[in-house]
Formats: sequence, C-alpha cells, structure tokens
Amino acid sequence: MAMTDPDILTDAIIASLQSIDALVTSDLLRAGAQSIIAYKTNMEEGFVNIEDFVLQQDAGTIVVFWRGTRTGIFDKKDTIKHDFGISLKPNGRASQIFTMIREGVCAVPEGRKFKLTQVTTDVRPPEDMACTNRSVYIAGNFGVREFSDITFTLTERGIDN
Amino acid sequence: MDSFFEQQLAVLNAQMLSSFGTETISYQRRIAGTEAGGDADLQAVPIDPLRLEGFTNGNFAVRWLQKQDLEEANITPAKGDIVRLADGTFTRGGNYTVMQIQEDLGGGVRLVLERRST
Repeated sequence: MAMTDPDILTDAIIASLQSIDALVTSDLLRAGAQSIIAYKTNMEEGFVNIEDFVLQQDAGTIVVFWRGTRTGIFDKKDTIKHDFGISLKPNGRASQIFTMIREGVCAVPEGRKFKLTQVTTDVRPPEDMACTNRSVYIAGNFGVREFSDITFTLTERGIDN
Repeated sequence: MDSFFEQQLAVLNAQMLSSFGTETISYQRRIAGTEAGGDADLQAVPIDPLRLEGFTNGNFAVRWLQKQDLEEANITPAKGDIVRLADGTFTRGGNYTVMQIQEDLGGGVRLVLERRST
C-alpha cells in the first residue's frame, strides 16, 4: 500500500475540525470554520516557514501543520506514522479550545469525537495527543512569546510494503 | 544631576515627540489581566512594525513615548498592561498587550506590544 500524502491528511484533519459545531460556533475563534487554517511546508519562492507563520498567526485562529512522517510499529507490524501539530491562538484560554478539539464531535466523516475519528479511511484515530504550553524568548524585538500546541500522530492502516 | 549625555538625550527625545508623536494611544493598567486604573491618553511615536514581522498589520507593534507623560498620568508601566491603538497604515487597530518595556537615559520609553485578541 502506498503512503498517503501528508498534506491530504492535513486537509482531512481540517475538514473534521471544521465539522465540530461547538468549536466553530465558539467565541474562541474569530471567524468560525474559516479560522481553522492549514500550513503546508512549501519550498517555492514566496513562502516562509512554520515559525514565521505561527509567529504571525492571527488571534482567534488555529493552524494545522504537518510536523513529519516516520516509520513505527502498530500492533507489532511496520507502519507509517504521520506527526501533526495544531498551533492554538484562541480568543481566550488554550485549555478550553484543546478540550473542544479533543472531545468535539466531528460530523465529518462519521460523527465521532475527534480523538476517536479516522479523518480518512487510510489512517487510525489520533494517538499520543498532547497539548503543550511554552514561553520562548524569540529575539530582542519580540521578547518572550507564549505558544500552545497540540501534537498527535496518525498511523496508517495496513502494512508498509 | 543628569550627565551631559543624558541632558542631550532628553532634549532629543522631547524634540522627537513634538515632531513625530503623531499618535494618541490609550493606556490602561492591568494586574493579572484585571483592569487596575482608568485609561490615560498619551502621545506616542509609531515605530515601523515591519522591522518586527516582515509584513504589515501583524500581531506586533512598537510605540515610543516619554516617561514624563506616564508619570504625569500616574502610570508605572508593566508587562500585561493594555494599549489601545487606532487603525493605521501599518497597524491594525485594537487592544495590544505590553510585552516589553525599554527605557533610555533621556526619559524615553519604548513599548513592544502584541495583539492577543481579535
């Protein structure tokens, strides 16, 4: 079976998140479903990098981005594991939006909580979902900046062959 | 008594504010996110935020003002205070949080601000 393009999974994650009614109607997002944004690593001219993108992230938005892909083991079989991140910049508390995402019911594709959702039929539900808060000294101009990220892994179904 | 350098810098700062202090900002003290005093309107010099972000209307802004004006308004600036900025060419109007405070020897204060809400 061939590996799924991670950018396709990014779009699928966003489609699922955009179908969480409690999330898109929340005041934590500035413009509902439109506030859930993809960042796709692109080496063409005119693009920047994830650090710049997140630094310039609008208040009241979340950014879904692909962190990397690796091989791993699931059920004692070789598998492909895609690591994703969601950068949180809500109009309010990070803990609230993390809870809304993790426990939110996704109408797309199958009406289950995000933590139990297979965003495409090729991958299993999110594993190792964590939310980490950190303050980082960026540079003299920016000073200390606070970040909050959700990280999780999507494991492909089937054997990597 | 202030040194000659500090006196010269103070004169330069006063001249800077009278020439380029084109913006009135609204400054509000906050303690742990809670309002801790009324708003004070202060004259400020808008400093190009392009230096911070590489694009306009972003999340960061820099404003320069005089310490004397803060003292007259009975404000000791602290991180977490709120500055309200009006819409401008390089700045999206709204509430900004004070992230950094820098003071020079001539009584000038530079505020680095971050927009944390829509």
